[in-house]
Amino acid sequence: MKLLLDGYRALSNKPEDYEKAAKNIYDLLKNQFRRKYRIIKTSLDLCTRCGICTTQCFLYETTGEEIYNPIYRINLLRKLIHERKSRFYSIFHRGRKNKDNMITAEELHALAENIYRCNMCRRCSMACPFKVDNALIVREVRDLLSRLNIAPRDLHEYGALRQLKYDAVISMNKAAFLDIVKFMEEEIKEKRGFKIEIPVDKKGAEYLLLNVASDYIRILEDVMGIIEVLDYLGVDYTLSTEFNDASNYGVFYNDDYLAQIIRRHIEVAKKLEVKKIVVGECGHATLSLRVFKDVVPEAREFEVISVLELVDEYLRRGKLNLDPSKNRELVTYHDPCFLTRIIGLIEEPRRLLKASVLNFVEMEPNREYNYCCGGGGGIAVMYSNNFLEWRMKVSGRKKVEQIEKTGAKIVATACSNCKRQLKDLAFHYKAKWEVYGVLRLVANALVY
Amino acid sequence: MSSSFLDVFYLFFPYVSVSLFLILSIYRLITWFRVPMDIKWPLSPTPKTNRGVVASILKELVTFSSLYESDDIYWLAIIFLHFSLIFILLHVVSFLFNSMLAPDPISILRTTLYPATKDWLEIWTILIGFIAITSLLYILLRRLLVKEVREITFLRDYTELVLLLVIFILGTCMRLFNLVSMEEVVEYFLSLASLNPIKPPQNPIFLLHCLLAQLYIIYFPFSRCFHVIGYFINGWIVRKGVR
Repeated sequence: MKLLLDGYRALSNKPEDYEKAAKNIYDLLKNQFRRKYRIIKTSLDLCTRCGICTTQCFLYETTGEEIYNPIYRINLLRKLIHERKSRFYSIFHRGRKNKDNMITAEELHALAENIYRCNMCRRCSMACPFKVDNALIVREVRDLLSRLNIAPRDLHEYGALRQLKYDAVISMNKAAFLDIVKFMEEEIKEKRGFKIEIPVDKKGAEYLLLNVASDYIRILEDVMGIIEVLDYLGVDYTLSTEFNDASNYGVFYNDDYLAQIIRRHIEVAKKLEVKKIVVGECGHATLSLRVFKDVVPEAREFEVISVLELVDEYLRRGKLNLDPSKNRELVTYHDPCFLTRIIGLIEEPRRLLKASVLNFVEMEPNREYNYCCGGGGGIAVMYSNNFLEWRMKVSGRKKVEQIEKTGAKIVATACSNCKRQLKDLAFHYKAKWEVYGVLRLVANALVY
Repeated sequence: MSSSFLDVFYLFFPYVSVSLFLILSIYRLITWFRVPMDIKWPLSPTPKTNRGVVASILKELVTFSSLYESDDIYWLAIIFLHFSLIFILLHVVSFLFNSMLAPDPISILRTTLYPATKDWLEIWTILIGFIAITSLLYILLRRLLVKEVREITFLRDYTELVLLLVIFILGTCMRLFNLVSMEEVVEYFLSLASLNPIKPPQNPIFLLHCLLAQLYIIYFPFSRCFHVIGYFINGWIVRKGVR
């Protein structure tokens, strides 16, 4: 099988997998893909290929290569859907004229690689006159291919499967988690001078706080920030030892794992008899429990909010006493795509930041027009093959330029994936800025 | 081809094309509405109320604001094209209405928009034809010359554009050189509308223009031009985040 697209590889599947998948894809297309969401059908029919989205796609802007054109991948899919219909139809389409009009293994490989290049940031939909939803199309194609066993290792084996097996994407058992909680209590005591108690497995609390498990290892300060703020406000919350990982890689690629993981979250919430679920600083975790919770019918009884909304509510009621002079450095805010363009948390983090830092500067463009960090759509957790290099050199370049232009010393953001990508970028480009969670800065500015 | 065959053809083909247009449009809509919309996945920031959603859809419909933000020359071409299409539709409809009902709303609108003396009407029609042709030419050239658009274009995109362009050029030529009189055309269309068709005006350009226009409306439900209807559906889903 010849090398398609560019030299980078997101997927580690073998050529046999693609050959097998190319035979079976049509049944799935007919029975699942095309009957799922109306917006996918209308989007594929409506796109006039006017090319407006190409002006918005930061990947295309960075590379200028045809394969990163937002419509290119949709065209690949369109070929897949339409060309088998009839010979007559296919003369209107450019490209393949093989014997049975079947997709070849190479073409399927190209499609599979290509859909794992999309960051699902939805900037293209913002500009599209017909609001063609490329991100949802990409997600559904990923879902389709994952049913044919084509999925990146980092999302599937090291992600969803591991989470279901070990309760967390990183394997963290109960003892380790309790250790971390204890460590956090000690750290906060050292910093603040008084001891706080972090509730774990408390039954009947109002909120269940779910954080991304890898945050407990990589960026404990951000988790501590959330806990400090919640403790300051006197929120009745609890952590869980069981299934405490909020992340849900099913959002990025597969409905079945999505539903399984949501079910586990809901089980925990029911067991601890909480009323609401608060998701920590994470875009896709909030999305999974808020937008996709309808996949699991029993999930509807729980209200799911982001921790930003919760704290912002207190801020607006004047319960949060903040001293901005404790954060003197220039801070900018990076809008995580899922939080901004799907859930719509745009002003909440800004209000929090403006109240807790002295100098705040906006990136250009900002809010719903912000560029993706280059790690959206699950790409931030993909390290296999040479994909890290792609994330650094191709998808993250625009963001680095954008941040450098502001001259900020601290990039605040509210998404675990964005933080991971931005930290990787800062390391790769030897940047002078640091990545903080929004609530870490808020916790820093608290006046006791 | 004998002229008698042509006459017979133009007596029944308009009915075929209009009914095909209606049937195929309904078929297309059914294929859309058969698929459930089972996801709450809005494009934030979204309007809070239903009224806000409708207002936002209408605002974009009139101003084409998302195009303006990305590419202003293209926006200008698109604005000109769409508004000239609307003008021409109004023009045709107002002629038909004018002859069927005495004081009809559309001709009142037309007379308030521009002086309805015969010369002015001619000039307006020609002018609008030229505007539409220019904008179509720009869109076609953009497709051919701009790299990011060219690399995603299918053959059918060119076909649709060229078809529309030819229809406009023939129509404008007809008015420019006064090949057929407006009265004849109106008479022919009215006879079609009253199910009692007469012979069409005998001019090859008019006949070709008429034929291509009919082919266009047959193809319409399967062309990209069906965005006229899809715009509202997609706009509603995306702004509402419907479940």
